[in-house]
Amino acid sequence: MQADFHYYATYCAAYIAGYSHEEALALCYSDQFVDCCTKTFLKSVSATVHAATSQSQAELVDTRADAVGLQDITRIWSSFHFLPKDLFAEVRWATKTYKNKYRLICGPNGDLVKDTVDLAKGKSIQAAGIAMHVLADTWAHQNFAGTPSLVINNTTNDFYEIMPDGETKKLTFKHSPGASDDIENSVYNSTVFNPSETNILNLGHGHAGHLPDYSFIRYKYLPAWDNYRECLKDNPSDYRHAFCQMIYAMKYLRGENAVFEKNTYDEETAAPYIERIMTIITKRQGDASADWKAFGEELSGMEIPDFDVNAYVQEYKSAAPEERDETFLGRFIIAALSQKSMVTNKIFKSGNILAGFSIDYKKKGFRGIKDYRKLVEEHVRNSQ
Amino acid sequence: MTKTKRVFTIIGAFFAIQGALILMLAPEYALEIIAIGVGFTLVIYGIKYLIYYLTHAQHMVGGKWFLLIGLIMLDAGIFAGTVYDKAKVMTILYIAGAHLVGAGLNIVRAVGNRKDHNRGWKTDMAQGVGNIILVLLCIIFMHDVIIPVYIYCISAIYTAILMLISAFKKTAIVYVQ
Repeated sequence: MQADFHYYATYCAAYIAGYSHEEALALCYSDQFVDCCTKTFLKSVSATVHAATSQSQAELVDTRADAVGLQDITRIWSSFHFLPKDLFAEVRWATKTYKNKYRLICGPNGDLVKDTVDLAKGKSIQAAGIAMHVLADTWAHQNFAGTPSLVINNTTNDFYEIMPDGETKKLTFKHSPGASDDIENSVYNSTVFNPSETNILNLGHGHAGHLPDYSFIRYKYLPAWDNYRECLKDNPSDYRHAFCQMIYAMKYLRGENAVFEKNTYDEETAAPYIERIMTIITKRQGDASADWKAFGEELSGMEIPDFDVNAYVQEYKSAAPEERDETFLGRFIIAALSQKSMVTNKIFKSGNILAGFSIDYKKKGFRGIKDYRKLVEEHVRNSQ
Repeated sequence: MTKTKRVFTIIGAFFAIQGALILMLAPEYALEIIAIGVGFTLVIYGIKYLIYYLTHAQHMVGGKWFLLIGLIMLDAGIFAGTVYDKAKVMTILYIAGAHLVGAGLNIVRAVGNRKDHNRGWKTDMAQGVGNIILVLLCIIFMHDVIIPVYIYCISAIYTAILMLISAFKKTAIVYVQ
């Protein structure tokens, strides 16, 4: 998903769920900021790099392809963009190393989505924003894994778009980094084939280009992992489910719903707006920001400012070191560390070390990366 | 990183440094040893691809390519091992080629980091320039044995030092409920 959904559509969902204009803005900012909080950004504000929720292309190229580097990549992408659906999924006649990768395939309504939303309950608005990013991406990024793996994330070149009239149209892919997609002529940009299993080019949905990020498109393709079965990706339906599930989750975070359960969508609250929402979702365009923004401004009657990655930098940098955790970015950093820590722990406890090692503080005390001490301090603050 | 992996990384780095120093002490034999090393590496990669096919790629759409690549590499490695004594120029070109690829990656990284205002770009650029100098030295002294051997050995020692740094790095994530 892109800024159109993570920022503007999330604003709409948050407002419909009952948040005020200011709260909805803070929430959708945190949601979109997940795509911008790289190590490079964190270094520029002198914050811990372990709170990174994304990686730039330069950082990915820079990462050493050894076990530690791959675990670092997997922690970031599995925790925030490709949340695994089933950490105990079975594959017949497969080795443990293959199963470990297979089990990181992203999908909606897995146990980890519930864990993610539960983790944000009672926490900051930034934590809620991060949870909404993760939840929404489980819909858009399903069938791909947040670890570099050729055998999981590769696809054949046979992609077919299903047009609104039911006709199918073959899609063409080029491999020019930075080039934009030509939606009108069905020419898209994607990652070039690389035969190395753990090359960063085999991370996530690169082989499908930006197709998972466009809400209007319905297409068929052949993923590497599904035993020659054709996969149908219905983005309009997925994006609608994501929107309604976000409303349901945010109502839970606000205390309106007592529990958050999987496979539940708040269609009822969205019903008065669903026609407008589906018009935006199904409109054939690469960036739906303007339409979502107009809808959001109609809902609240307030202006939604454009996303500015540096909006809270000055506040963070000018705060005294002991007060930084209370700033907007400080709270985002703690929420990001918490989400990463939780997902890494769940993956590690399932017997899978692709996201690295996790040490349970309650059982073994504080060992490991010292920047995670922030979580202990936060835990102590919340307990008091 | 597991404790076993750390131990193997340290042992591997130690042997890489030892091996590089020994080659520097006997450069007249070094090129033949490196040629044998290249042949051996191809064999290892061939076997690795075959194992990759059996453990992973057999589940993948189009995975049979890896069976083919593995067999070709294994064959090429065995062939290289039989002609190691006639491979001096090829070995030097191999060393130069490896550094040229390294230089390209360093410069791409440096340009990207500079664009992102990351101060690390100067280090990347310096490494890129260093790699280009090594490529030029390899080509200028192609008929000399010592310089290309020294370049190969210094690169091996540099890589080994990076392995050691990686082995001693703290990496575990703390989980606080």
